[in-house]
Amino acid sequence: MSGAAAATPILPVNAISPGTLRLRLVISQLILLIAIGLAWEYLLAPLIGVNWISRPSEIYDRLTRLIASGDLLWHLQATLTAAFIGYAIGGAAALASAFLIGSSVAADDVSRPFVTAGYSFPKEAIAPVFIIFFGIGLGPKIALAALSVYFIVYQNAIAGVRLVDPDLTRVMRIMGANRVQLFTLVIAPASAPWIFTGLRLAVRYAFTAVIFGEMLSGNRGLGYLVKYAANLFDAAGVFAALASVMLVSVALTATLQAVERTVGR
Amino acid sequence: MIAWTGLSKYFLAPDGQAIQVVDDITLDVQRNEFVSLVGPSGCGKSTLLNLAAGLDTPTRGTVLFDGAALTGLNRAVGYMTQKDTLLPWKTTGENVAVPLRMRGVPRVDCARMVAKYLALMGMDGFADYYPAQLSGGMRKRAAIARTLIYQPDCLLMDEPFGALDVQIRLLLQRELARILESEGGANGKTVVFVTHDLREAIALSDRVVVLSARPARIKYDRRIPFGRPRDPLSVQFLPEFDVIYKELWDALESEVGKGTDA
Repeated sequence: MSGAAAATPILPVNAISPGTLRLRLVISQLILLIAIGLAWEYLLAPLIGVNWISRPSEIYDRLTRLIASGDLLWHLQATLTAAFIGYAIGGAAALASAFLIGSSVAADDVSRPFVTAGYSFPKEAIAPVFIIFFGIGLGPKIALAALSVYFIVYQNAIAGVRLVDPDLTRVMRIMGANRVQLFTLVIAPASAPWIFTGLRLAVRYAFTAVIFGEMLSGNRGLGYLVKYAANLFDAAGVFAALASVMLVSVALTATLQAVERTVGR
Repeated sequence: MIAWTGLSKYFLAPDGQAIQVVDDITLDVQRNEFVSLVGPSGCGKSTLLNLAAGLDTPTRGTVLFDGAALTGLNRAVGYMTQKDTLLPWKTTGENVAVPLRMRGVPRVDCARMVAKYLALMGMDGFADYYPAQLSGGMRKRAAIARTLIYQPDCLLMDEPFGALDVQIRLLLQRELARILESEGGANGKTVVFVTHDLREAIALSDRVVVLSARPARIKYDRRIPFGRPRDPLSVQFLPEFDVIYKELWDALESEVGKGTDA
């Protein structure tokens, strides 16, 4: 204990440092994970049957083999490529059309019921049509992802554009703003929080759409991996594929949160 | 400078009925004149202002600006509302620079002008603050600096001090009078000022126009004899002030409470 330490405020006796608190949290979460694993392995698996729900040891074994053989990477690549391209196309189209349509009240009013119809429509239902259009490769998966992403991003972006304070745009126009300046000075920054919300939700939509597309047709991707194992009644294979889907979605969410932390003001 | 001639304005209510807000108003604001429009709330004062800004079009009649009929937005004016309408994602300095940047003024000249106008509004050292970090009065000062920086000849002000507390309001009235007088000659700008506050109107204006309850007609038009430069605070202690106040209040009183939404 140095003299400097004496000058700092003294913590209450029972105070816990943030580091210790975090460690405790992680340990508790690990214990929960191990408990679930043990219950599955030694309780549920014997009770329900290994053929139905497999068991963690077997799933782990299968997963490591999938990774070691490079199969997982090969499927993952297809899924992520389709999701990424679909996300980019759908997101860009949504932002462009939201800003364009949002600049005219009449266009917004006319298009609204059509957009609502498109938004509420279950996009997966159109997948067979995309297979007819684009075959069984990456094409239909990209299209389905783009369509799913489009509506969720559009709805959020147009809501942001509609909520821009009309007094703000009015004052800016009188000050001399042209259309481009009005957009860069007011509309884009004012609607940015809504747009980010849409873009965040859309990541999951793109991922889901691609997995669904892969289950429907083709011979590559995480969705295909799940379906293939299920067709063989291979429980360990199904759960190994699902575990990889889960790991990828956790990784995507974590990446997204990191991006938001750096972008967010 | 601004002339509303034979002007009537109807709005369409949500139930499909046409509501008349302005009824055959003819009013001429001279160059360098400070005119206040007072009237009960909802009487159409703001509508007259918006028509002069070209934000709205008359149903009948015309608005002449500098002798020419207005078609479309009037970009020769400065327009201020009760809200400060600063861009929350830009600093005070950037906000004040906005009208200059729109006009393609180079960055260095912008910085010089911004410093000058912030100093004029007593806001040295606040350039890097975001609007959310400023008080309501400070935000209003920044908004005034932003309006003055592009030097419009005419200011349209719609209850600019309406949301401020009384002390700040009195201070800003004094600042406004000082700045308008310093910006060129005795009263270098034409101002149309909308307010419900009769004292504010008399203290600041060369002329006060009382409007009737909706639809707005000109009820009373009074010249204010206080010269310039003038301190809008101390004129309120002149005996003549109370006489004018009484006179205008008599005109206004019968209209207050007449409006359907009052």
